[in-house]
Amino acid sequence: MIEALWDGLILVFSWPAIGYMSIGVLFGLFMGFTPGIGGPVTLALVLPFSFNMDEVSAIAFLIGTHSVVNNGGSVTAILFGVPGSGPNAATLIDGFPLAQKGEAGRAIGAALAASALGGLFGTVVLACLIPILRPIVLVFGPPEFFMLAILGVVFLATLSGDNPLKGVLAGLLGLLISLIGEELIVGTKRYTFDIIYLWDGIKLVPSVIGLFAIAEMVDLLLKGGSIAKPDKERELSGPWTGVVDVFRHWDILVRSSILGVVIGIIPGLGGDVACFLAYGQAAQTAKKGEVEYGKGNICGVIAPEAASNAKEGGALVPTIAFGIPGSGSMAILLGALLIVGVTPGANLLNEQLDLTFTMVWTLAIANLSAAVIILMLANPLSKLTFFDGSVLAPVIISVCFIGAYMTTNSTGDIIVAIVLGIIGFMMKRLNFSRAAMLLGLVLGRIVEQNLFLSIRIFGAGFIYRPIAMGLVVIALLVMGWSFLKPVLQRRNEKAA
Amino acid sequence: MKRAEEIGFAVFLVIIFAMFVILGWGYAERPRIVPLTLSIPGLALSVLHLGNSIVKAKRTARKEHPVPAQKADEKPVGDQQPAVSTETRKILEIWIWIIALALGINFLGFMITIPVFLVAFLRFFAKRSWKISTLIAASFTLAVYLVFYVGLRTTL
Repeated sequence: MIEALWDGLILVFSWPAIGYMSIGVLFGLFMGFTPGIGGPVTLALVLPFSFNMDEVSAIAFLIGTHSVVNNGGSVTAILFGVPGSGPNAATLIDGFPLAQKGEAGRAIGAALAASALGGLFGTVVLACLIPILRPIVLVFGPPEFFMLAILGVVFLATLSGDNPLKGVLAGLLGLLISLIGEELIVGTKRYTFDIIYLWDGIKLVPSVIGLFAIAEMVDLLLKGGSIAKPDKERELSGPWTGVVDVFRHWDILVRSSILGVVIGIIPGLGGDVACFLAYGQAAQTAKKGEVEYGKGNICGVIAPEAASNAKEGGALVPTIAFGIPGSGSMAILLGALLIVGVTPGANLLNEQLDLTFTMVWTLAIANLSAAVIILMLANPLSKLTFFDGSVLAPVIISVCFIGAYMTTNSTGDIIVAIVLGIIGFMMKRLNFSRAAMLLGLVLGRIVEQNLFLSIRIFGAGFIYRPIAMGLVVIALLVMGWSFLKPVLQRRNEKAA
Repeated sequence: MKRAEEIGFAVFLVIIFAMFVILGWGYAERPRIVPLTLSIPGLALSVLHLGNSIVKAKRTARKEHPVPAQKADEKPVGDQQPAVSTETRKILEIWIWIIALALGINFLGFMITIPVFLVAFLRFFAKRSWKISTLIAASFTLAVYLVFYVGLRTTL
């Protein structure tokens, strides 16, 4: 295995693989900057270029591109409140308020460091897990998926701040909107009003663009001025302060990375869940005296970023070991591997172990490269937040519409972005949690599908499976704590 | 204005959840389980939220404008605020620009609508000069063309 590890490293640095990886990293970062063009869309765009490459170059190019897209999306989420894709919306919750305080550099530094270290963590876990993959992947079934999704729904309570009622309403609305379209088991078309576009449901990308990007741009145009309105008396901290913050909050980094890897390993749950779960668990463990989550707490940036890149290593596990893609991006990657002659499965874990480690090393090196590149650009990029919003906003809105349209090449996606933009704008003005609504949108179908599968396969007693039961206990503890915490805080304040 | 927005949005939520309940009831047994499980509590909570908003609005209104005792033949003083505030007008204007952009994209395509939108918006909303507006619009359109049409070989 050590020999395969070393051979994999040599393969990554060989020519032309290292050249293709570098191109992939730059391209992935650029695509990440564009809202809506992240993850699967980026991979689908570059896939044809890999057909004529040898297997090592194709792996380096595709994984190099894919693994850094989220980094680019995080930068726009922090700078402009425009998430590049679903996972970046979790970073936006605290990242954008930091930019509004003039601390965009610090937020970017923290995001990149957390992302790089989380990615490294995921890579190490991937390398260590290779010998023992099969039992881990097979232990998760529909009951466990269902309970993980419910756990994500329970975390809604932590995203609703002072007004749980508004948070729950936002989450319920998101869950219901996710059910629009063709029902998965019987095929009934629900809430479609005979509109063909709605048969496929409401897509996540235009929803994210509308709820966050367009709503923020309208708010910026309304308020006038620039995005950043720093407190003049406070000295602004730069990206290296953010990097130091990640090491200071190493416990959040480790917990979020573990969560990201575990969620990534489970096929079908998706990366968005990992980021929001990580954010939720960080918010649950907020210490007294810290900046409130949602108002510019640096841990609110560290947690989702660490989980976001850690899950990439985890998501490769079922893809290369069993040919079971963990997400849309992995499905495209799997297709690409098959085209260039790499067959996932036992071969990749035995005779072609060096290729597997090529993927591992590519992940690690691409993440580090992206972090270094963006850190060098962090200061000039953060100056964009001081531009006049009335010039920046129309450009960003145009980019958002391009990103929304590129989801399915349909103007229906632009309409969805506008409608959800109006709703998102009102939610922002009235302190409803848009993150809770987005989480509901992401989890609704997962909850329904896995509930019915669980009942069909295991009967009503599916909840008694050990891991599912463990997740029930965690969900109850989280719920109980979110109600108990304010009561204890008030009691402590009265006693003080 | 904020009170009216709170109540308006609360009414909107009640209508939306009611719609999910009423339409959901018409589906077969399996497809309606999860929608009704979510929408019925949602409707109840949204009605509760509407009630809260109305009570809060009345309480705030009483604190801001305590009603003086009136004589029987005195006419009540009318509301002094303009029918549509400046902020509301600005919000509507911004959304009209955005909807116009979407309509333009639908009927004329990206490559015509985006430069026209940017020039018009920067000139008439952001009050920039024709030179700056045209420069920004042209640069951005060129960037879109180079990235998507030349680089990615896709059409918008």
